Amino acid sequence: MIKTQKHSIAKKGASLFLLVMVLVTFLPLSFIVKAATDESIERIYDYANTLSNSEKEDLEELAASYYQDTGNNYLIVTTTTREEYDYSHSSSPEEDCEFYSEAFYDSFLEKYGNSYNNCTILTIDLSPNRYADISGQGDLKYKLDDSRCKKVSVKISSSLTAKDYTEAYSKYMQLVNRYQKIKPGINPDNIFLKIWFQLLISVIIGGITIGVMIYHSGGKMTASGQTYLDRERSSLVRRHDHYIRTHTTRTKRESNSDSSSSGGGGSSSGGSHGGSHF
Amino acid sequence: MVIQYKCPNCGADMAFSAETGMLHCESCGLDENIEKMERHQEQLETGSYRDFISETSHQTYEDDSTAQYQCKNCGAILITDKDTSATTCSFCDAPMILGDRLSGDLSPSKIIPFSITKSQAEEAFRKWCGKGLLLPNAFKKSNRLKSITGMYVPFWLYDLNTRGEIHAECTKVHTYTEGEYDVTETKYFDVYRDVNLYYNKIPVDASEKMDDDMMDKLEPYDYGNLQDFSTPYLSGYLAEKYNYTDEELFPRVEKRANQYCTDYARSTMSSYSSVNIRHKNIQIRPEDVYYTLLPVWMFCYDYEHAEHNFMMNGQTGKIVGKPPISPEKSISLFAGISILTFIILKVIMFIIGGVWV
Repeated sequence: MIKTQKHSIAKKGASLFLLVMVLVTFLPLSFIVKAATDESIERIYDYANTLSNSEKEDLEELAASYYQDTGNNYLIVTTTTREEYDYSHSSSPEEDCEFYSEAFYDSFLEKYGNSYNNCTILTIDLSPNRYADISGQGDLKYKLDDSRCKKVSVKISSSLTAKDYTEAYSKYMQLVNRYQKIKPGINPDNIFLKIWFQLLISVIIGGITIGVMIYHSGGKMTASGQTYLDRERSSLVRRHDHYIRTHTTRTKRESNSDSSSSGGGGSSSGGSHGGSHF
Repeated sequence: MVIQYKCPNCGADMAFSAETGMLHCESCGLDENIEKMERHQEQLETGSYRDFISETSHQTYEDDSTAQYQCKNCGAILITDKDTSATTCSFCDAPMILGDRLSGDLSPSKIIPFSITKSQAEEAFRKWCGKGLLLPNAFKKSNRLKSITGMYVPFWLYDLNTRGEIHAECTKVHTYTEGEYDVTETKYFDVYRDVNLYYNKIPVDASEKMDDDMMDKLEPYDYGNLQDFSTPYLSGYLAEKYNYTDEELFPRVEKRANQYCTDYARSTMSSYSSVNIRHKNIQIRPEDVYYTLLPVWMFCYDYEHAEHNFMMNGQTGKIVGKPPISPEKSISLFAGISILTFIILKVIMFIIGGVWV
């Protein structure tokens, strides 16, 4: 009797300990998450007035939720003049756009501190140049290299041309978020990363396997010429292998270098860049 | 003429035993050597052939499709198919060998005796049914094996000489990169092969009733146990005589040898990336042909009001035949394999891409 009581007390003690452990492990975490959501960070700087107030709020919320999930800031800045931030101008408007983006990044860090350094920036230049630049900063400089930046800019350019800005911006966040998860150096549009293609391959392999099983369910032919060949007497009497000609084809390899350049010039830290006109 | 082997000890009927390779007497348990029994039979025949005929049993009637024989044991009249050369009396179960269908032109030169007994065959067949992943459960469970019959099926075994000349255009493809270019270099070759091949004992079944495709799938037989023909081997089994002569079946073996010869020539071209046969000239000459009886266990299985026939190589135990396929099982296995492949693909892509897409 005493023994069982002792046993149950020990059991209770153990479960209490477990509860405390769980609380200790998860309490600070939930506290941090909560703190992160409470902090108000402005991630959308719509100097060109492409969005209504409610649209802007919605996008801020979307960016905040991505931040909560990943700790990354997906920023958007729109301009008609490229004059909101200071940078040393260059000869090409595209390069200026990159410098502008870097200058914007510096001011963002100044405002919120270096702990918010993992950013992507969509810079929409609505001057007659009409250029969208996407840039990766901090860790995202590697996760979102020049070619991935370029891919995202190309994918949202049609929405930008149609002046469907909310669509373009949310698509940008969604794509950037998807690409940054994929290991650097891999083409994020590789067909093997597409679910429909993976499903198709699985179904084909399943189908072939069953087909072969059904075909062979009645037993298969296992005897071949080798089974009955008299090796001692058989021979290859004569043979020749005459070379006739060579046919050579050359195809130019798809080059990996995009038109974008890794910007940096006047800014403190150079990120990755890729952009396209719309 | 009906031949029945009687036990020298007790006079009961003897049958060939696949287990011992000897004639076995069920009633006193005596095992008797095949050659010895053969000699014993010859003595009987030379002693008083007429007596022997009247003593055992004899053919009484024959038309185009059936023949009547009389069993010496019980006197019953046995009506046989025109192709049957060995059977058992349907009344007293005594083994009966119809000697007149095994003599002259119909005399087999070789035989592979059964090495799998009836009970072994039955067990192996049940195991095989149980293993089939796509077979309906009802088929696996129901014990509807209607009959198992051991039968010596007539085959022609051909020794062939095959002389083949083959011209082909072959290519070797080499790819490499040169600066900014991917270069594909295809080298063309004019390839010629002259082969002189000998094939030993390619079997072709000579029975009208047997499905050619199934008979081909029963191969290969192990010729290590190929014996000179001797009638006692047939005792207790069914046997048939051939329906087609070796000449009539030559085109079938010719087709096979043709393919074998082409395969052989192609195997000497394995260093090429592609082989395109332009011209071939294959001459096939028969060197020898053996009328041979090969052992086959036949299973008749009743399932959902239909009979399914299966065959087993009586020497090696290989089973062929079209079993019923369960659609539900096929679909679930298909789904299972597809899902598994999908998961594996996902894992691979996770390792490569670092993301569950």
